[in-house]
Amino acid sequence: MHINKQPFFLFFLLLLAILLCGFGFSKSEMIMDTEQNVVYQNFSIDKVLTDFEADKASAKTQYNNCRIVICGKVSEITKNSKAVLVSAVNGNQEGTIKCSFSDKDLTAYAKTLSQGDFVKVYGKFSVSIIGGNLNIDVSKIEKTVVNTTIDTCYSLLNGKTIDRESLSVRTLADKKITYYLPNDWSAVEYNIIENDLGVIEGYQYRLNEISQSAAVQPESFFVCYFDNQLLKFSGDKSKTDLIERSIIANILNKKAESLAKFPIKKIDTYYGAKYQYYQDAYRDNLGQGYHVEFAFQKVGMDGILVYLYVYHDANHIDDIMFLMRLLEVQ
Amino acid sequence: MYKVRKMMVILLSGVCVLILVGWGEKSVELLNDKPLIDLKTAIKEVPLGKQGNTLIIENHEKSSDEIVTIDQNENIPSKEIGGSQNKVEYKIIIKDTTVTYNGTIHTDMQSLKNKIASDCDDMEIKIRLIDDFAESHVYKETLAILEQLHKENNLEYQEDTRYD
Repeated sequence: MHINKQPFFLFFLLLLAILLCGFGFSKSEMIMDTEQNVVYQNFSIDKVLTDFEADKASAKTQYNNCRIVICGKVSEITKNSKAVLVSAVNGNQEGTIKCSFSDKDLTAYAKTLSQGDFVKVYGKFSVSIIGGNLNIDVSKIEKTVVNTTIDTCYSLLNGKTIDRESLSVRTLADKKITYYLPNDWSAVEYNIIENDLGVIEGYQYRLNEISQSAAVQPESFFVCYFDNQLLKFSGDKSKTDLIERSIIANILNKKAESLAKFPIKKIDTYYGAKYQYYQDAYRDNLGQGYHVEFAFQKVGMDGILVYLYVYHDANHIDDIMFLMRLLEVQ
Repeated sequence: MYKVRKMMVILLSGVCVLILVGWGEKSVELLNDKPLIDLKTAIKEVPLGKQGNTLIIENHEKSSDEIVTIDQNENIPSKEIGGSQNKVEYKIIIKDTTVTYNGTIHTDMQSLKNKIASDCDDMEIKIRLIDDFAESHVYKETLAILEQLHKENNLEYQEDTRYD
């Protein structure tokens, strides 16, 4: 008996093509991607060195794998310029941090440095397993005249820095969620329920209304808390993915079945938060289209934190990254 | 023959798994059908001149389309009613080595210069430089930036030791 094998191979090839297409589409560019817009916490190098001298284990727990900014004095440059040793600013504290470069541009910049220069270093801090040496895998290094850093400050690679202590605080979910408002945001804040903008607890920030932005096209960021009590059946509390799909479908006025793949992306961030992302588009009554991005963060079994960004031009992504980085969930 | 059957079984099993993975519930029901966020209401274009804390002053003695920016929030200490010619005034406060411009700390002088230059391009501003026990080298460097922007962009600034 002869069986024609050709249809099976064609079917197999078709299946393979569909799978490959699926993988291709899943690589979406998310503007709210916390891995692409890393927020670095400022630390005084004197404090880091002092903490490690006092209690290595405790300091390792605090600093290891943190994204940090330190200011220090160049005490040594390796011969191949692939690393510099940075010491305390005042020279009172013993010890150094080895700042290593894997990027050619950084190595080239390191060649312009001299012993005694004050530098500001952004990167990922680590403690080597053998010897317990302190290292920073450098993302950016620059000469500076400002030789101190404040521990409550956070910075982006573009140099923008905020001091958490100077920001206004908001809470949600009976104070289970605390976040810090970037400068100017309180002037464009709208409580969603009080302003009849919806039934979810939270705030809308109309970023295009910030006077300096001078943008007419809407750009809004929402920080909301979905309480699982808003579910029809309490037994659904554990179905996090399905709840999140329903939230998206409700807000975008779509059927949950018609949504694209969810989640589009999952991120376990360097600061401990876990996000599930979704990306879509929204068209207003006038036909103007906007990008829509959701990020969801589970708040125990009680509810879900919902970030929603609706924008045409993402002019305030820096502030959004600060807000997400500094948000605290009990 | 046996190999072909085996291959068919494997392929069909694979297809069944893919179908089953995509099967099942796609959502859960919410308590009511009201929108959690009503985007139609929340997302609206803002008419020019009505953005944020910017108000159009309706004063017949002044030009009718004159716009000044006022501070509606005490948490934004560095912005206030403009002085001469209704310029928006921003403060630069230097405390020790910390430089705060319009409520944002700048530890990188180049980013500070870029930000002020960008604000100069966007609107008419003037700067009040406040020495709150500043480190002299930081103060001098900031002052140099302001002098340079004064020459290049006609930026108006004044030095002040009074912090209020």
